[in-house]
Amino acid sequence: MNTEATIPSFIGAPVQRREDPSLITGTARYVDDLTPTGTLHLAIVRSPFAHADIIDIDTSAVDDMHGVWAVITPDEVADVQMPPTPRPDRNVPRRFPLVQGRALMPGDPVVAVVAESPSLARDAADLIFVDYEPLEVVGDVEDAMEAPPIHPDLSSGSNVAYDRSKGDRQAFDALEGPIRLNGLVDHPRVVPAPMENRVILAEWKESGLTVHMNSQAPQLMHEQFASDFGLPQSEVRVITPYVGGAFGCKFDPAEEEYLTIVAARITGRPVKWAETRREHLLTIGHGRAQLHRYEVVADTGGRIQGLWVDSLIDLGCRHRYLSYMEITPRMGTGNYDIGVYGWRMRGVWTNRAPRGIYRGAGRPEATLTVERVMEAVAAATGLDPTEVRRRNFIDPDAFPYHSSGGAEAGGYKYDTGEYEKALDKLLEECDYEGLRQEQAEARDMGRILGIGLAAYVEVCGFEDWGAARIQVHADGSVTVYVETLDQGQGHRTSFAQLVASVLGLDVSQVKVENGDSAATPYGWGTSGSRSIAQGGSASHAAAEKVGVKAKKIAAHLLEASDADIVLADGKASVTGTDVSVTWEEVVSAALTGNVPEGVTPGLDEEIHLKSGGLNFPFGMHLAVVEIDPESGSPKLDRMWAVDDAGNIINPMLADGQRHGGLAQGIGQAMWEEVVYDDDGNLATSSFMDYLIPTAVTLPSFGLDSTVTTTPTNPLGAKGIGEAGAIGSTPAVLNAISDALGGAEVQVPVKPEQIWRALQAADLRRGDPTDG
Amino acid sequence: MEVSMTVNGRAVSADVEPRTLLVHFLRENLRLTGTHVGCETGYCGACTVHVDGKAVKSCTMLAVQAEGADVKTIESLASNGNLHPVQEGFWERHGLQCGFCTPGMIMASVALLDENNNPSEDEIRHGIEGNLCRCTGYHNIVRAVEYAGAKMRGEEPPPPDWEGGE
Repeated sequence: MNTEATIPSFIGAPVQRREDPSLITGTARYVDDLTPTGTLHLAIVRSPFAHADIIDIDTSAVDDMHGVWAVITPDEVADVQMPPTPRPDRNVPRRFPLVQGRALMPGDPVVAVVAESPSLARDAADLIFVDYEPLEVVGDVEDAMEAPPIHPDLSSGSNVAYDRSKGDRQAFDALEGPIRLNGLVDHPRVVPAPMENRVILAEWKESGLTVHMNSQAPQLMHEQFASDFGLPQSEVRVITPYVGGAFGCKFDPAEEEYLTIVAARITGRPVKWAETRREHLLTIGHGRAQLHRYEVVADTGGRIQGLWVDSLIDLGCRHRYLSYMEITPRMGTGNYDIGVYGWRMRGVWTNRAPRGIYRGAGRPEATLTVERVMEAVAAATGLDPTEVRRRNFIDPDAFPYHSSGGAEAGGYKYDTGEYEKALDKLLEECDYEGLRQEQAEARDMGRILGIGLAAYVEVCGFEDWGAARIQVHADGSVTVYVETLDQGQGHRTSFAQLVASVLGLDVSQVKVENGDSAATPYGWGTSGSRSIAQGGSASHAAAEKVGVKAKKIAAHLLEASDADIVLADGKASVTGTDVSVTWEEVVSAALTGNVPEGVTPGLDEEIHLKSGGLNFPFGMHLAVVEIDPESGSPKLDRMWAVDDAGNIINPMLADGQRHGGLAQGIGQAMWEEVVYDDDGNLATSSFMDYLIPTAVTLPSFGLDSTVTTTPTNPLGAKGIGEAGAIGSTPAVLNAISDALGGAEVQVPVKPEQIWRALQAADLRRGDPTDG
Repeated sequence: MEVSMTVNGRAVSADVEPRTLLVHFLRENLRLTGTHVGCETGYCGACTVHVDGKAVKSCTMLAVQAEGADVKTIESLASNGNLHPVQEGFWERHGLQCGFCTPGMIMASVALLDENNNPSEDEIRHGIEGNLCRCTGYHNIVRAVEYAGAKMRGEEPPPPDWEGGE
């Protein structure tokens, strides 16, 4: 039976967002907007030193202070469990809500104060005296490998927490070449910096622990808190209302979440902690933090024979979240078919904030390096950057393709891809030949333009199952409870489109709820661009189960065969006739037991859906920059992206994801960098120093797409959340390098670096003042 | 200290600590939580409100400095259930994602269009330069302000640039 033609589908339509009316009128509630009567506020005394022993803590000035409810010292939290599970034998140190005797990074929490107002808590925190004995700071990741260990109790006996490698080095050394190149690609620390900082509000009630927090994965927090505080999961509830952006940094809990829960237990009152921007920049999981050295072997035709990448990961002082660590080497060969690939990766402790998850989490590092490799090979062979990529792309017929050295080297199995098609579309879209001509003409007039290309492929859909529950109310309206968690992506709209399309309802009849662990099914929440593939597919599949049952009930009411029933326009109709019952009548019959034999009353369904594996979206990004010859100041003039995320549920939302990703990737290329001084102090502790893109530093973006579906989920959709942040950084870096005649540059490419490159180029040409 | 002002058309007064910032007065005393705090250095603009018709970052002003002033927040922008053209523009042109910067961004955009209802893209970008957004890359915020400007001039807004747009 073919009913496709008669079902109005919202899939693929730019449906306006259902969440916007409350967000544009100021009525949406974020965690910090919730302050139950009696709420106390938590402030933290933090170490001003990057590395110091704590000699003494004197809280006497606030012990009797009016309005101060509790002062929490390290001893009081010495038995609190928190993730990750400590494994001294495997170099995973134990983490505590407050440091135990020694601060390991600037901003490490030492004492917590709970008081009746945020300002009083801060005042009291400032009166607490802590005596520190500063220790030598382990800062630079390369120096750290030789420095005394900052975790002397761990088995490794050094700051190298792990040293892993894969690949056939003998085969690599035996490659013919003749082109052999090596280079360095730096991936400095960056900060996720969503506009909303972290906030948690904890309360212990008779029924157990209730936590409001802006988490990406409330179900996981629920599970974690229950385990760490020794409660049955039935007595814990984690509620996430609107979230003001996350980009990875709100996935895993940190010291402050645990402190707040402990404070609520001690005081018996609701306790709130609202992170300041300074605290965010100091202590949140920093992204990237890798240093890569590559070796590449190619033939004179630009065909790459082998790639070897040796990477140092600046772990900071503790682990936050472990499993993302190997994504970079596992994605190391990018969009290219490279015969021999191998890698070494060392994770190194430093007196810096823990490395954490940030948009792309491992893929941007892989992509930036391999795209710099492509530029190096293009320069060495004299090929155009587009041509060298074409010659190395994985052939569309080769999918599914085992990338990055195959299974032996830990490579992933890519599902589908058509890279050259996307490149062709990009080059046509931006008029590549025209741009090169414009560049040449500009140069004749003393202007410096650079054009940079980058290809990317990324991996999405980790934890390859998703869960959703559909509740059909007596009036026919529908609520979808889904385990993924919206932080601005628009799931309340796109998931409603999926469910409404299956049930033949209007999008306005479907409400999507996420974030209350007492109401939503178990799941991994939103990370790694998994939401559409997992949560979306599960919502869609749950709707299909509801639809199957609704058709049986409608067939019973209409005395027809359920195979002939179509759900559309708010009705269940017998196909090809005008015989129908309304959706509301079907629902009423279902809820009152007017159902055929063998069908249980009710229409609610829950599904935990296993997907067919990971999906691999891809695309091509191109940047045009102009350099001011006098100051070296770069301006991003134009930016194009052709992205392929398979089937798109809502192109308006997908474009929004791409825009935001591009902005963050561009920020990383041009401005964003966490800077510590020689004493280990954070020099970028406000938005005055940590520069995220503003409206005037970015252009409008030119977007286009290709569609290569995936067989790994029923929607044929791939992830789109991180794509923009992956391709744009190398595109911009390559553009700046191109402007400088292929000069070696590292992100973020600030004016000084460019100015120095310009001077060096001038010196090579002779006297810069001479003609 | 006693402070009195008009907020969203209503006379309000309260006894506050002298150090109370306007944004905290709005959020904590008046429970007008639509105005957000995104940094503490006056840089991000999430706290932008109107004070006597001008866009002001309410974290850079003490509540007592607003004595006698006419303050408007995001909560007052829609009237009788009708969205302001800027609110409509943000909805129609997907000018927001997480929505956290949005109230401030909208208030800044209203002030911008009140001065010049036909700004160029460059003028829009400079007009909202003091408001940070981490989600949209500003692309659709510019489109939203263009939409609102057209509406305020009584013109047809330009079509959206996504696939399947009008």
